[in-house]
Amino acid sequence: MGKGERATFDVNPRLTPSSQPLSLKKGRNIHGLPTAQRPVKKGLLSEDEGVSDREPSVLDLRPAHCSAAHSASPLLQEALDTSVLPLHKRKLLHDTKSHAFVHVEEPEVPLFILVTTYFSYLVLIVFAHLRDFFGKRFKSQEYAYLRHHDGYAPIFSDFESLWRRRLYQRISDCFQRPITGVAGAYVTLLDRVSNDFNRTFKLTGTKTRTLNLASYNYLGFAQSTGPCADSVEQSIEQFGVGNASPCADLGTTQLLRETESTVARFLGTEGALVVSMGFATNSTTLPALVSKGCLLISDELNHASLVTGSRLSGATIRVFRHNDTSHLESVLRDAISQGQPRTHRPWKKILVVVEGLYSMEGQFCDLPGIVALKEKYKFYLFVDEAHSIGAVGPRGRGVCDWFGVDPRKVDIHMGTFTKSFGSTGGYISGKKELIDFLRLNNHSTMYGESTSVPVLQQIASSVRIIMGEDGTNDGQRRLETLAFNGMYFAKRLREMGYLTLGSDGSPVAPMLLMNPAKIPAFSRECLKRGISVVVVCYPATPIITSRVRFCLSASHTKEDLDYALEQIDTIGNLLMLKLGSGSGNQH
Amino acid sequence: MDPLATTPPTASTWAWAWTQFTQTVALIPGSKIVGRYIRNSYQNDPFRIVLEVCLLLFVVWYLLEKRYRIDHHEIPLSKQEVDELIEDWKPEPLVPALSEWEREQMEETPVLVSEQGPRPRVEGVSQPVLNLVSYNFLGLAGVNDLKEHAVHTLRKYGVGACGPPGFYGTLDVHKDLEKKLAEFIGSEEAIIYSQGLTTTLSVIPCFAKRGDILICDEAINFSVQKSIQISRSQIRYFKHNDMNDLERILKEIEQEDQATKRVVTRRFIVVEGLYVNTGDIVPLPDLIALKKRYKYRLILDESYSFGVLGSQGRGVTEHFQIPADEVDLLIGSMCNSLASSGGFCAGGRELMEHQRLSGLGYVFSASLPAILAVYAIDGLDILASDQGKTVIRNVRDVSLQMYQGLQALVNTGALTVTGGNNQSPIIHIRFDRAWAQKTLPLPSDAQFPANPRRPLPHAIRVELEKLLQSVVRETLTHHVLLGRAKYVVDQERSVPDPSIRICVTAAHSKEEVQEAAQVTCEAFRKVLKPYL
Repeated sequence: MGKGERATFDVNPRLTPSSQPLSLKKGRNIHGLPTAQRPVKKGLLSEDEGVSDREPSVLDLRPAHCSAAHSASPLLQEALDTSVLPLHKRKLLHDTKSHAFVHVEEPEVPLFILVTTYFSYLVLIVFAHLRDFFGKRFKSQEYAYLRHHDGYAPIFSDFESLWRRRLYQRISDCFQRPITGVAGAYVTLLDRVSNDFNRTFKLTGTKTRTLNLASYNYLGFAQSTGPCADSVEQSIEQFGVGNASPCADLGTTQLLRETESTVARFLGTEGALVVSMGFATNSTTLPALVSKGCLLISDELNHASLVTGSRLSGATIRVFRHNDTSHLESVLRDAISQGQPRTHRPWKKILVVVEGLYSMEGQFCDLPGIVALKEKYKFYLFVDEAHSIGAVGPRGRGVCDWFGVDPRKVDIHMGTFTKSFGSTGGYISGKKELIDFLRLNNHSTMYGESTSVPVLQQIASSVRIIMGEDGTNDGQRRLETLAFNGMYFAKRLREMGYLTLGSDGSPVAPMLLMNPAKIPAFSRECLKRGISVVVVCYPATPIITSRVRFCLSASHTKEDLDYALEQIDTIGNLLMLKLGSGSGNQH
Repeated sequence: MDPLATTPPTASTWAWAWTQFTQTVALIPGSKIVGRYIRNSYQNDPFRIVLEVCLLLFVVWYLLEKRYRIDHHEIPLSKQEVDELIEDWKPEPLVPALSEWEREQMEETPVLVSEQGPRPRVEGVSQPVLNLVSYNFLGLAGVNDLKEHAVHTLRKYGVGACGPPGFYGTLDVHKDLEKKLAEFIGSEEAIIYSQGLTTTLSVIPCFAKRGDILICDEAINFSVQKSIQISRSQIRYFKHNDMNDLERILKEIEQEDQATKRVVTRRFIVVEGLYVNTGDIVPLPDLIALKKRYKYRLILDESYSFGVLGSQGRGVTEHFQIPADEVDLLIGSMCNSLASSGGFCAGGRELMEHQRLSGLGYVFSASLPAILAVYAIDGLDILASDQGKTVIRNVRDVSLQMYQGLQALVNTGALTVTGGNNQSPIIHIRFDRAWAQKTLPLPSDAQFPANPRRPLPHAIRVELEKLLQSVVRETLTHHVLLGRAKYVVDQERSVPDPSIRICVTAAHSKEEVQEAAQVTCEAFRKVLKPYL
């Protein structure tokens, strides 16, 4: 391409009348302050304040990247000098040729950390059992629900709930934090306290505004202003909100049809079906596609919705090792040659189910590798792009776009609108026969509520913006910014010596915490410094590799990220989290 | 090479190694005590030494053994044979081609071009139609005040919640909604899910697991059928709304318990408040008595009865004046009468908290958009007010009106009408099986099942559906929109007979309903003219 390497980050002259960041001019003092004094707004925010300084469009935020105020920082200079980045932005953003699949090795964990982690869990579990043991004897009233009583079995066994009661509850202040307003680049938390060791929480009535590295808002479409919100308002006025009817009855609206064709156009497929919930898209579609006598081969790290759908389908389920195409091939060879168990009848069909981007790992699936097997083994391919659609690829069209794979090679595209589109619900997309069949056989379209009007309109508008059909380059700028943010953040984390997971180019940057005590510590330390993060531990991850998951967004400015990185650097020293080589390269 | 290195070790080297070893071991603190203990315990006990060596060997063998496999029927094949088999294997197409009738169904699905409501516009019809299809029982879809509030909410919260409840997806409005729901229903706590259909699918498997027992009504809706299937519990079905049959099963299980002396596991009775497939109401008082006598817990799906039954719309519990805490898990939906989206579960605090970490649809799904939560709150506020009482009375009146208007059909002997006269706004019109068997020209190779509770064979079903669809087409020319009840036939456990499902709403006037009933009767008469 003809443009210089920096083209995408250059200030659009139209948008920067001065060298000052626009945000400053607009009175967004949060962005204007020197990073070290990042304010954590405490206290009652007025309703209006909450609304007004919330979500400037991405267009407002971009120029701050290159403002004069920042050019002094050598770190910024380095980041802007894209040749330093291993996969520099030009290749990332504008090279439409395929990216090769890079296998990401799990980072090596020092033995000392491994031992202490297991030991910590051992102590926690021993104490959990001890507390239960004594509690049941001395506080029998409180533990009544765990015991057989009056001929009733306990509603959940102490074993099933041990994790929740004894381990999760200790750190439950780090989860389910209530928020208000839009979860954009910043999110307003409702402060809460617990006086009974996290059994119950009380809202204090105050609020804290924090930098949001937690929400799935990849392209920054979580907004209450701007073109999307405007169109949603119009639609609500015209079409109302809910439909009180499944699609099969009277839930099919013209808006739904239009949205579906927009989505299909975006994905480059013949048709699409929009479902009112992302989880249900998987759990209600898989049973329509495969049944007894079919084989479903699933990646071991597939999402719970896919597992639910697979189990509902009645098909035989086999699992292959995460992202291991050679293992997939051996499973396929074995399955096809042996046929169904016991009877050895040939399988009716084989469906391979993978995710485009594994959100807990931040890893792409090996789509080229799997597609290469397709021809020979004649299986059908289901790709769940919940996290990748909109967020990766030069045109934001998911892993197919990223790897340069023809979308028609994937039989069933699935994705959700929660993450990149600021909406909710999911879609299935593919050939017209598939969509037609699903209209009559997907449980959600037949029995579940149809997608509500505001949700549909948000989808339609945001997809059009990403495709540039609105006549602006807003979508493209969001994509470029997200790509930069993801790359920059992960690289800086690695340079600091953190153990990170995840592929380059992923908008999710997971970082290992390991020791159970560090899980809440990290989250609380971040909150102290005005940053919201998601920490994840068992059962969502293997017991040893609990992690923090940073979700980057196009609405983060570079100064937002620099502030966060600076604080994370400090926290890392405090919690002794820097266990890597700090080379900055992918493991 | 040094020749010495290859010479076999002599006795002296062994002795030297042994002394080295013992000296090294002696350096370890406490090794003396251990050594003494081992020497003492093995003294004069060769049997023990043999046994323990055997055990050790077994452990080594076990660890080196190949992975355990369930499939013992594997046939060893050469690489070439495998390749040939792969070459030969022809999968079925991903989806079967739609039959002509299925295609027709799909194309005849009405498409809304206006707002949802009692009198919307649909594609291909010039005038607004009277909507007897949507579950908009209270007429809350498209109320202007609610819409205005929705816009206000949009301007504060945006659309999507951008995360699951665990990770910054819990909004203040969600908490408000949960609190309001719990207060309204009269339970300790409530939890909301982002889709009505997925609510049962999350709640039931959260408590019922392998080894537990679920007893379920035959006519239960699809979503519950799938939920109990995924729970992997033991499932027994009792005849629809037949408490005697339920008691028979309860007794059977009791006898099994006594015979086997097994540990009591979790047991649940699963019923619907208002059966969407039949329009019947569950006999809750009898059920509660049975559940208490036999020590079962009750899961009550109020997806369709919430907001409809009871003087204030609290559902079937209010209908029978039974406190909601008699029901262990009360599941409801906000997408029907509240015309919003999502579902909820209400019950004891511990049970709800358990779901916040184990309910799949709660943990692994983005939370309900704020607009929809607020819409539901507004709907609840209306329900809880005096206006709510009036609205519910209206629903009942028009339901009865519709039921009475349809009596002309029952009088022909060809059709049955259920619902409507029992305060249910869901009314089903079905063919009488005996009449259909006798009168209708049905495919000769298909037989009516001897047992009236068995589903109809596919060929007969299609013929009946086609007749009903003609009725739907006919009424549409008179601007009355009816709908057939639709099912994923081959995934239902026992699919109900084809029917026209009428849903009346509080937003319909008595006159409208009367006229619609007349139009429906006329249409049936016209379609069935050759056979009546």
